[in-house]
Amino acid sequence: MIEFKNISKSFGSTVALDDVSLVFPRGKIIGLFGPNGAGKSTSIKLIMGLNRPDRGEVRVDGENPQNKKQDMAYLPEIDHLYPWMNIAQAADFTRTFYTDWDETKYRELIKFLNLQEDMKISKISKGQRAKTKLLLTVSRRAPYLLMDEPLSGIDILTREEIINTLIRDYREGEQTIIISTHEIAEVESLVDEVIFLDRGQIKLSGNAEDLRVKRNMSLVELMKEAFRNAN
Amino acid sequence: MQTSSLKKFLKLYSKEIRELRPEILVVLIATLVLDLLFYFKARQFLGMIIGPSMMMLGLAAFLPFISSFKLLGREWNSNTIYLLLSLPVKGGSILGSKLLALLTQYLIGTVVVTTGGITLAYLLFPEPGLAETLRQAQAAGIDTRLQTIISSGALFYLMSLVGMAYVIAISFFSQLLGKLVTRFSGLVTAIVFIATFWLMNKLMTPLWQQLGKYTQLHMNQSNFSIVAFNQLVGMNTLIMLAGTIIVFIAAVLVYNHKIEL
Repeated sequence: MIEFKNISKSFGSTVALDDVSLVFPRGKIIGLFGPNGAGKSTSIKLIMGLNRPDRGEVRVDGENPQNKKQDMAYLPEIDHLYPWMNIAQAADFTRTFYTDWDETKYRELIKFLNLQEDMKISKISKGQRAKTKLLLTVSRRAPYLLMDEPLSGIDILTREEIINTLIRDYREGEQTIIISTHEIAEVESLVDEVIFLDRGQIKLSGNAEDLRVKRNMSLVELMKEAFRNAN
Repeated sequence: MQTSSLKKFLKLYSKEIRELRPEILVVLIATLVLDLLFYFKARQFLGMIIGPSMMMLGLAAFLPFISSFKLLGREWNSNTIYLLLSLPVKGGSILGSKLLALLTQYLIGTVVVTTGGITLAYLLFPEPGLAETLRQAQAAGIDTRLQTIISSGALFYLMSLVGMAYVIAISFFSQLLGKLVTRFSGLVTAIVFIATFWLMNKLMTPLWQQLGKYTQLHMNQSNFSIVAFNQLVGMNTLIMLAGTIIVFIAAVLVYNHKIEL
């Protein structure tokens, strides 16, 4: 379980998160939704230990995130792989650091995603780079999978492949997936729990199905309504 | 399956060596070209050999310091710092692997340039010959036993290696502090570099002074002792090593506790 206790985080005069307290339940797919600048990426980075809160505390299974990196697979929005590596070298680099690397899964996924091991990262398309990042992240059997805008700038077919990969490999109850995105429609069918963020504060949160039934709206409509009311 | 810390460190080290490959190759190729050029084309201008050879040695010795800025700075410029910071390893491994790779670059560069230079000198200056040179040195009262030459040379080289580690550690420390600010990062890095250098020199000055007294006592012009010389170089190396460890630990602490994205 991941817990935010009164988290505040600013970058200069920009407030990214403002006294946020929330719980990411274990074994669920959680959608972290909101417009640009809502605090989604900061939340993911705080869980990953890449940012430190100005105030409050982040706990992952009761521990400091810095000590839980072994249990977390992280897919950032930006291209973070070494451009001179090919996919095989990037996989070899990743597998050295994690005990949960699943070689069989990696072999299956590389075929499923239409990638080849000798593809050099600096030479492949943006969509292929996105798929490579996904391949390296999902080939681990990590208890926590943190994805920051995994569909950003990706064409519709590749988006479908990414979502299908997630559905295919998700281990319900065992694995917690947190997807931060502002493209809600694409992942609506995927998420169990939702958290809507805006300007560093939680606007709405709860079980996705309950919210849909209770308000008779899709998540996209729900978000629009939540932000209209907030403004 | 447990992945050992050593295996992780070696993987990081091999990555850093790959990053430094262009600079290492530049020194190797330039040395080879220069030595071959002198051997085949410049025999009639023997006096000109020393200058460019020393310049090559300077380049081989100085390049790792320049590379230290590239090696760390590039992690931010190419966003690979996201990958590094998400790995389950601490700053000691990250910075340690970079330091070791830069020292490897220094080792390869200086050994190749020196070996090339000595070979060239041996081939182009056959007179008065090695045996005669040793005889002359012996007549001047210098201990010319092979064991002594090797031990003094090795100690002197070790001191230069530790000196390189010292400036690289200061480079890491200043760059990391520079990354803590969003604006004028380069300026902060430069100021911290100079300030750390100055501060460390201040801290080490009392030790250098003690060494100076020792030198006066044991090594004057009429009483040159190779043993005393080796002790002097050895103590210099130890002082610099202590300084390197202090600055490196400070850099690791900044990486572990202050660096964020």
